[in-house]
Amino acid sequence: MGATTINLALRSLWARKMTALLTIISIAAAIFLFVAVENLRQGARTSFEQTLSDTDVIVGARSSPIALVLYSVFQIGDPTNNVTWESYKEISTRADVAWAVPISLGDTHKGYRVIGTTADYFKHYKYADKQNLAFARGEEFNDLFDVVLGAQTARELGYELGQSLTLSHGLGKASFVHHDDKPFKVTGILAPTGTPVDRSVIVSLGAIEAIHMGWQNGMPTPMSRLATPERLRQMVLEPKSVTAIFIGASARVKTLGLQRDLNSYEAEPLQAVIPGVALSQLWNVVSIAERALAIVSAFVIAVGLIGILTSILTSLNERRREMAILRSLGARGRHIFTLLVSEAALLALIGGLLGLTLLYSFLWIARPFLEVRFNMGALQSLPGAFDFAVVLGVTFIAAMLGVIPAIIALKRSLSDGLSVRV
Amino acid sequence: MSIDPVLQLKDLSFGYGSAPDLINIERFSMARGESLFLRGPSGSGKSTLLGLIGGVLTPRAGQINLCSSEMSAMSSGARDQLRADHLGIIFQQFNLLPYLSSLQNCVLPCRFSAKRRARATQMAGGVEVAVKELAGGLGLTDADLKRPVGALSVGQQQRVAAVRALIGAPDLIIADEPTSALDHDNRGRFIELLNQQRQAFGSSLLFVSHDNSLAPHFDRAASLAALNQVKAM
Ligand SMILES: Nc1ncnc2c1ncn2[C@@H]1O[C@H](COP(=O)(O)OP(=O)(O)OP(=O)(O)O)[C@@H](O)[C@H]1O
Ligand SMILES: [Mg+2]
Repeated sequence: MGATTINLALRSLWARKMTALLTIISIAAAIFLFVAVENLRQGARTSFEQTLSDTDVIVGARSSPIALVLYSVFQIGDPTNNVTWESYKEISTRADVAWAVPISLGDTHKGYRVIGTTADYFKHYKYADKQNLAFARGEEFNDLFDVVLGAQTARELGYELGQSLTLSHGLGKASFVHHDDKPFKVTGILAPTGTPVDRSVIVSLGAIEAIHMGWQNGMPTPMSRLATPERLRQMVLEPKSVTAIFIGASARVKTLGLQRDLNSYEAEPLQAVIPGVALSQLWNVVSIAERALAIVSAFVIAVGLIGILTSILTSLNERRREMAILRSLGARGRHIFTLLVSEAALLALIGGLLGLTLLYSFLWIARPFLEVRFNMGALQSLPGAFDFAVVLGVTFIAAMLGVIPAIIALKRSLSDGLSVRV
Repeated sequence: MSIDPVLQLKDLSFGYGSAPDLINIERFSMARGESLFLRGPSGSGKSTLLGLIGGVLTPRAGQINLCSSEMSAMSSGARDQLRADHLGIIFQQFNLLPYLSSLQNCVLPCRFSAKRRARATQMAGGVEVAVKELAGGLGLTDADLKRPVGALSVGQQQRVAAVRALIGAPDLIIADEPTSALDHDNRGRFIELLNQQRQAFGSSLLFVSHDNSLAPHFDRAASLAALNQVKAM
């Protein structure tokens, strides 16, 4: 009997296909939006927390843990202080340290931040699920004035291998102090990672030292003229300090001890953070906007559900005769009830499945375009359990709402009797 | 004609909402297999009476006994079941579901009643076959049955409604002035065909109308005004 009633509901809906279609489209749009936002949120969270992986500890000058992560990983904000080269050397030789990669910040190229580091950076900087940086074209820096570009930097500036460029002093976008006398050459362009590395310009630590040779207090002195590229290439360039150090512990279990030791480092005040923990904390701060987005899309679903209710309630008047006929043919109260409840559920279910189909077709078509710009690992290509749970949940709520018109129709069909004059 | 009545009314009274009684019938009964013509002017309460007999309206007082079952003692669910099993109803007008084909309309009563489904299957071998046989008897072709009801003439729609009321051989068929849209000759022919089919099934027929000229087609004729203690103004 249930199948018969649902069959009737379907045919009755089909007879009112214009209204039904509009209702279905509104639900489809709501589900499309909600599932897209939710998946992007999840994807954003995952890719955010996977910005850095395999690095156990980040060390910098003492400030706040979040500030350290922001400037060392996300290239946001200014480092306040540096870590001396002596500390770096000592830390890197500790028994519980497997590897230590120093980075030096403070210069830019057309607003893109410059990271001075060692060739080990390409070996140990990992993102997502312990994925290494890969070169789309070219290779690591070999010469003192070689530079490697992140994917986004190269794309947005239109740079190719062999491009010559100069760096500017300071982290602001409008830097007026340039290192014009020491041009660099692009030797490598990284593949997209979906991390801030995409927006960076990477040079050797020696290069950072070289371009500031003969500088004092952030300004060049006449002495700097003497440091020509040719002479600099002959020199052993060792920095006096670095901005931060990425460290891999010799064993996972040593991480906490290492962090404790470094936080109470005697030679200078240092701060060690565990990136995973800091990233989670940071996410809670930055995710407020995304949560707002999720709330908005939940409201869109609520509006869609109210649309279902409205369309059924308005259809009740023109369907009084239909109900009376069904009752005269032997339909019991529960049939009328099932008819209207399943109509609401069907509208939501069809709308929901349509929404999912549209969303994933859209992703499928747009994937080639999106993949160029983003790290798509976070976005699934087929609807998952969560998506179907959303559709089923919405269908269930719609069925619950369908109880309202069902009760009205039931009461009415009892007082209408067998003759309805409409 | 067996002796136990198919329908019995006793001290039945009814009125809509808080309005005064519209119907007050002391005693009325129909024998099994009998066809009865009930006459009454427009607004006299004919459709209301049929609603009471159909168990869709609840009387203020009194008894309605359909096929030896006392409706006033039943829950509304049981009354619905009784109607589904024993009553075939032909509406006053527009009584087909527009979103179903004629055939699907005719099959519906058997969907809601296992008893009628069983009877149709027993008599013809299957519900759809039963529909086709009845339709043939009422002058409808198989092609008519496949068409959406909107594509049928008013006369054809009446016949489809009759097939739907007859399917599964219900004990009582109540027809609410079903022929008012047809001309006199066609009305007569329709009632004759309806009578033939329901006689073959042994169903009783209660036919209400304000048009007295139809009375000769029935075993017996009665006047609602004579039955009803509530006098119209
Ligand atoms: N659902 C209702 N609620 C309130 N009053 C009603 C309702 N249905 C009918 N009535 C009133 O009851 C009276 C009888 O109506 P009913 O439909 O039974 O008449 P009828 O004899 O079938 O008339 P007709 O020959 O025109 O079909 C009328 O005065 C009508 O206005
Ligand atoms: Mg009437």
